[in-house]
Amino acid sequence: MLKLETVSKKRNTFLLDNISLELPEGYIMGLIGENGAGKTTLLQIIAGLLSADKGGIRLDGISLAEEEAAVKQEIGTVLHGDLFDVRDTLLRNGNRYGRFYRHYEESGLKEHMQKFGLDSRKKYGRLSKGEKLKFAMAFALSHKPKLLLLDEPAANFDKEFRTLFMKVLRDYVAGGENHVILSTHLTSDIDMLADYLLFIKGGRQLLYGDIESVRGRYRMAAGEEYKLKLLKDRVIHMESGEFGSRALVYNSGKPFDAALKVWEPSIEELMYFMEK
Amino acid sequence: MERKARAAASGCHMYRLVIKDYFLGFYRDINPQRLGLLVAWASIGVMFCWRFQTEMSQNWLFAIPVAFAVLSGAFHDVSLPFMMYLVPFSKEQREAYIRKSLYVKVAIPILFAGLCDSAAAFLGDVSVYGLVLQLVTIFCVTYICGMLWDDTVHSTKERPAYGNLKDFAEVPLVLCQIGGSAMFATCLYPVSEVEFWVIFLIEMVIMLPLVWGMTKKWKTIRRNFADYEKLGY
Repeated sequence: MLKLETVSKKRNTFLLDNISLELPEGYIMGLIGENGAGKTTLLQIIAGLLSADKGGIRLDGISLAEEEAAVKQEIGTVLHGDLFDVRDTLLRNGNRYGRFYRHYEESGLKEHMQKFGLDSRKKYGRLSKGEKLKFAMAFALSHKPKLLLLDEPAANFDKEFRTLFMKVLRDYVAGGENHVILSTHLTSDIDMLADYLLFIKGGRQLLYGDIESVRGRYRMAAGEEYKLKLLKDRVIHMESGEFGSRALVYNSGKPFDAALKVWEPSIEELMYFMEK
Repeated sequence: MERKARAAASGCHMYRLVIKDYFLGFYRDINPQRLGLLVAWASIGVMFCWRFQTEMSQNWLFAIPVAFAVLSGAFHDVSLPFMMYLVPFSKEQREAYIRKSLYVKVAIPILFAGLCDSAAAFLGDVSVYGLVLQLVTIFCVTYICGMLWDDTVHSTKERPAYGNLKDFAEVPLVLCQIGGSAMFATCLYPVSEVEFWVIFLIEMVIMLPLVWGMTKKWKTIRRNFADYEKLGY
């Protein structure tokens, strides 16, 4: 179980404020938010690169702040940028840093690199952006972590690899022992993969929970503007257009006007209206 | 693999990693500034070799370790590679790694100097004055650069890790480069007693306060560089 309790972090003028969640083993959490919402900062805090100003992070009951090395044994991280040494080959990079992990196996790294179409003899600096992410993923999987952190990797993958990527993630959590946090802009990835959703905006947590219950808390309603306005406090945001109005509303259990068209919002609709 | 992981974090094995990283650092972390230094030193070497090839064959063995020390100081960062902040190391272990890296950054150039000086002594007389100046310079340059150099000389202004040294940490690094270059030229010729005392006193006046000051700041610097947040990325 991954547990975050009121995690807060101030960086210059940005404040990541009071993020709390519990992610059980065997599930994938989608982390969504616009650019600058704090997704990467949150992932960096969980990965141990940054330390939280307030609050705590526990993985299987062990505190990251108190036992950094022990918790990091169980974390695999896929971030953008040059994570590894640009003048070394992929295999040498993997072995160089893999030796710090209890469960790292060179054979595992080779297997994943082969699956992802990477040449182990190639120098890391010569990889494309997408290939670097693939290598980071191969390395992360090779030391068999319990928690996988992925910072918007899918946007840089081609369609073919994205299918493989999704299968890899599903297989990774299938045993019921591992967790994944996948930060993404692509709501289609959330729809296809995620079991849990964390939506942050401006450093604040707007939504958290399993996707079914999160979506169940809201409804999309479309129809005449005046009818939507009658919903008063239940309306989170409304948009009016040429062909009518639609709004995201709380699902309080009260019935809706029969003239309104009502449906459960998609993740994309939730994001769009919550952002407003 | 579990044994290897524990070993990687333990004392002696950490030294093995640090020594390996030291030698890898010469080619792994090349940037335009370092490349420029390498070219400058190679040009100086070729120039002197061309002009004075018959005169200084023994003294080359004296001077090369100084050149090596100056280059070594510029080729190794005090911060760790990015992945070292992600792997299962605690902050204390990263701090220990940086501390041990400094010992290696000083020890290897001095050992190299010892080898070259032994070879020079084998070929003929070795001046004690020259030997003292050489070793003192190698120690000061590698010690100060080992504590402060990160990527380029100008990085000192960009890294919060330097703390209140941020605005003038560049100065000791530049002094090391200039002083090292001057000592390289000095080592190419026999040094008289008078010359020795003049150069030695100048070096002590400039370098000793720097070494003393950096030693006092070292704990704070390495603690900061063990913290990814303080690197300013």
